[in-house]
Amino acid sequence: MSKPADLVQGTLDLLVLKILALEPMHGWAIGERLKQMSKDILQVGPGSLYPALHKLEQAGWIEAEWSVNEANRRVKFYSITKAGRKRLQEEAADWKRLSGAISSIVFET
Amino acid sequence: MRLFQSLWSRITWLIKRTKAEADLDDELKDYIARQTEQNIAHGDSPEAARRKAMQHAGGVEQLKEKCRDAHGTAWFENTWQDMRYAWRTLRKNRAFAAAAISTLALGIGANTALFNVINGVVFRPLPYRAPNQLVDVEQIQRTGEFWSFSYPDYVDCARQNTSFQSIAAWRNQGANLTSPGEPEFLYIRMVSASFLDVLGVNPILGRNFTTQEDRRGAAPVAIVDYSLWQQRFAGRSDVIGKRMVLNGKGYTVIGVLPAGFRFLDEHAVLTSIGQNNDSFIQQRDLHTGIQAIARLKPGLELAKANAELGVVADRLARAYPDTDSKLTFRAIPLKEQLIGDVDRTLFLLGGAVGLVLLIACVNVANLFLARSVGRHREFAVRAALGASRSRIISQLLTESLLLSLLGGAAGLAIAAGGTHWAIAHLPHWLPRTDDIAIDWRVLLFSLGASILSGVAFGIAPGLHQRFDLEAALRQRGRGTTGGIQRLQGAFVIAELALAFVLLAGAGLMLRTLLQLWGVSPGFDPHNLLTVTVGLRPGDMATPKSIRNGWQQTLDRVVNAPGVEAASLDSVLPLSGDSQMIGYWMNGVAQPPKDMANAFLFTPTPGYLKAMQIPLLRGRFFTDRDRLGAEPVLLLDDALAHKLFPGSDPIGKELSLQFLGRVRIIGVVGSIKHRTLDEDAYSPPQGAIYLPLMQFPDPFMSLTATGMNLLIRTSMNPNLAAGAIKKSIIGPARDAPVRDVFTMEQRIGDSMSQRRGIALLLAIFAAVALGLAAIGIYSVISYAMSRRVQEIGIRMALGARSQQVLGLVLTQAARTIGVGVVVGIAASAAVTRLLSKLLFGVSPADPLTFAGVILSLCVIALFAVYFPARRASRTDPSIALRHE
Repeated sequence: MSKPADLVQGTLDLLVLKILALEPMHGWAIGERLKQMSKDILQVGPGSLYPALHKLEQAGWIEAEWSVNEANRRVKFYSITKAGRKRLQEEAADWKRLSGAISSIVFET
Repeated sequence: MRLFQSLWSRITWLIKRTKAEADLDDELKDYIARQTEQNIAHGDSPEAARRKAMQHAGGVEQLKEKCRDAHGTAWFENTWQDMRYAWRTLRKNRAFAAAAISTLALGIGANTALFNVINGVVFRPLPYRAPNQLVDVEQIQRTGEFWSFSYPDYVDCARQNTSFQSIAAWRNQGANLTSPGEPEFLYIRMVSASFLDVLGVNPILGRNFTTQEDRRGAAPVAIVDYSLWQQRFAGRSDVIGKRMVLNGKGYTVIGVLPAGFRFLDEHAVLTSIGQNNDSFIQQRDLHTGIQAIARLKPGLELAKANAELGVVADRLARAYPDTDSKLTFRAIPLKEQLIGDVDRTLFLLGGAVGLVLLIACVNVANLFLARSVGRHREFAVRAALGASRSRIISQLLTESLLLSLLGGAAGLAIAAGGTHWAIAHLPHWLPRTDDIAIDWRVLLFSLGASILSGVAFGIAPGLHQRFDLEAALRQRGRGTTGGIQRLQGAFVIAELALAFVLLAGAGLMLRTLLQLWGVSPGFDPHNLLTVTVGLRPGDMATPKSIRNGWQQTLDRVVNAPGVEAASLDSVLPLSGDSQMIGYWMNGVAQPPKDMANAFLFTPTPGYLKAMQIPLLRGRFFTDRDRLGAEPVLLLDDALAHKLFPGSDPIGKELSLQFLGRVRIIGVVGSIKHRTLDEDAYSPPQGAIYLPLMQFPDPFMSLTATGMNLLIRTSMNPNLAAGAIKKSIIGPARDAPVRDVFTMEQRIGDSMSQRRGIALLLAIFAAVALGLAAIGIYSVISYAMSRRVQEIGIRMALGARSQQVLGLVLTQAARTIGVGVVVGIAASAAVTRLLSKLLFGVSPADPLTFAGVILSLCVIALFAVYFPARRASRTDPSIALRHE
């Protein structure tokens, strides 16, 4: 189970925004998609994921919509907002710069 | 906009909280269901799959709590919840709440009351327009010694100065008001025309002085204060233009001052100083207590004003080298001049009362600690239900803050009433007491003090709270006591040390007062009555009638019942007033700048008998030493030794300012002039005695503004006072009398600052001692209640109750010993701050410290003894079953 500390601070937000930018989905699916896309390297438990989702929703970067599934359970679908897309671009650019900088130091020969 | 949006979302979350809770529940249920399905798909049994899913979530309640936190509404909601919970908890524990709130109310109340005083005296601006521009201007010796203005020097200083928007002189004097109404002796103030302008005050009726009225020979005019207007003129608006008679001279009333106007002490009447016809006021070398206030030009720095004053003084010194070469001017902020060094003293007392609050906090912390131990299980259950450690600490802090705010509110009420009681009943030594009132600063202070103390006593038990779920649940409510005992031991040590400091301070001040009372003033203050007295209206016309009037006053007093001897005098010793005279040696008059100064007394022949001052050489005045006879004087012992070391002064001559050559006819014992401890600060200045009845005419007129009577009585002077007062007032009831005090009262007043400080410190120390005793008692009681089983086992194994008692006392004595040692060290460091106020004792006075150690140990051991004895008498069979 990865805790937020295992991911670089703030990167969980970036990853969630990226995943939701592809298509709206519910919380469990976001965790699964993250695992699948990172080829099982990145895993995030509900203890980190759900608070992060609520925080992003609070900030207005993602929004939620409720629907009812075939088992008559209420399901909360998250989708990215316009502000969220802008935020994603900024964070992605930051990440590129930061990871590039770290790589250039760590892999310096 | 983001802020607004976020705020809006928080508010809607709060409103839709119930729905939001349901949503959160559904969302997490959905997660668990999906995870369970996946686990089943991986081959788990349905139960195992569900259990794994729950584990993966790490506790559904905790997860919910985290999600709520993410919304940012948690703080607000939690606090509200905590408040309601704390309120319920306190209502259920009324005895606990009452003990904590009353202790805090005492501590915060005492601190708020003292801050109220500090605020009024030190912080609040003076009640005049733009008070920061106001300065006090003084004429001083170039050596720095205070020296009042001579009127010509004031006029030059005012005229040549460009730093001030306005400047005004003022001088206090006594006056006999004989019309309208009954004769009354009151205090008036001669002022420059600009006086009220400088302060920015306007008469509520009539007008201010004009510059034409502030000139020699102008018609006498007066502005009366509000209460005189009410009393003597019945508050009538046609008072303007009415006549009043002061010291036999008619004045026309031109204005009425606003109610509540006050500058320094109260003065019933303002007259214009420049209009005064007395010749003395025109003398450049006569400094008769004239002082000045001025308003700085906007934005001008005080240093610049002082530099300019220096230039003016140098100019005057060149123009009048004989009189002015050793003098200069100085301006200081008016507020500083009014407050003097009282701020230092008040801050010292503020520190002392802060220690009382600390002790109160320690006591309440101890109550909290003892209670929180009993609540281990409650907190364990809350933790199990998803409360985080910080959440529980914040719950505890909410409870303590609620308590401290309630205590603070009660304290504010105590302070509001207590301040006025204290000002009315404690020795009067504070300036600006009229300006003491509860304002926003005081409210802010008490709020701050409440919050700080709430955090202070709430945080210790909170941090100590353990969150080991399993252990706490298993312990059936009994905590591990080791940590708590250590913390409580620290509490006891802190309380003893703090109480020690306060007791040492109070002890040193009391010893100082005892030492001062032991100082002989050089005369016998017992059975000595002092009265300020004015002349009858008909006696004020000429120097001759003045002289006769005083003689008649004296005769009436001497013949009054219970009077053994009496003397007139212009100045009373130890009254705060003094009068100086310049002299030259060998009877050769020289320029005023080269003269030396001595205290001047102008008594009548009964003086030595009335005061019980010994005659050391020669003779004292008799009725024959009157005007026309050879001018004579006496020296006191100090001046005789200074001027004529090793030789006999009798028959030699001194040359006196304005009076010329005067023969020395005797030497009398020295007395204290200003304060009982004056010799500790400066060498005795010496005194000259001149016979009142030998005063030349121009100076006789000066005495018409009032004299003092010193009266030796054959019985308790308070009992004799009534008859004496009646005889002074005379058959025609027209000689006014005021300020009837025994000399012992006056000496008490001369120590009023020290008495006030000593009394306050003694009160603080008593409260501290009481709180510390209660604190130690409750710590030991609590410790005993935790040790009932242990004591039961000891007694079942054969220990006798005395052995148990001894054991407990020895253990407690160790802690008390540490507390006392810490107290000694702390006091040794702190009492030095008092050293300026001490007299005849060192800040580390061994006697005081020994007394404090003894009393503190006795009281602490008593506080330990009773709970210990109770514990030692427990029945072992009951004790062993005790939980």
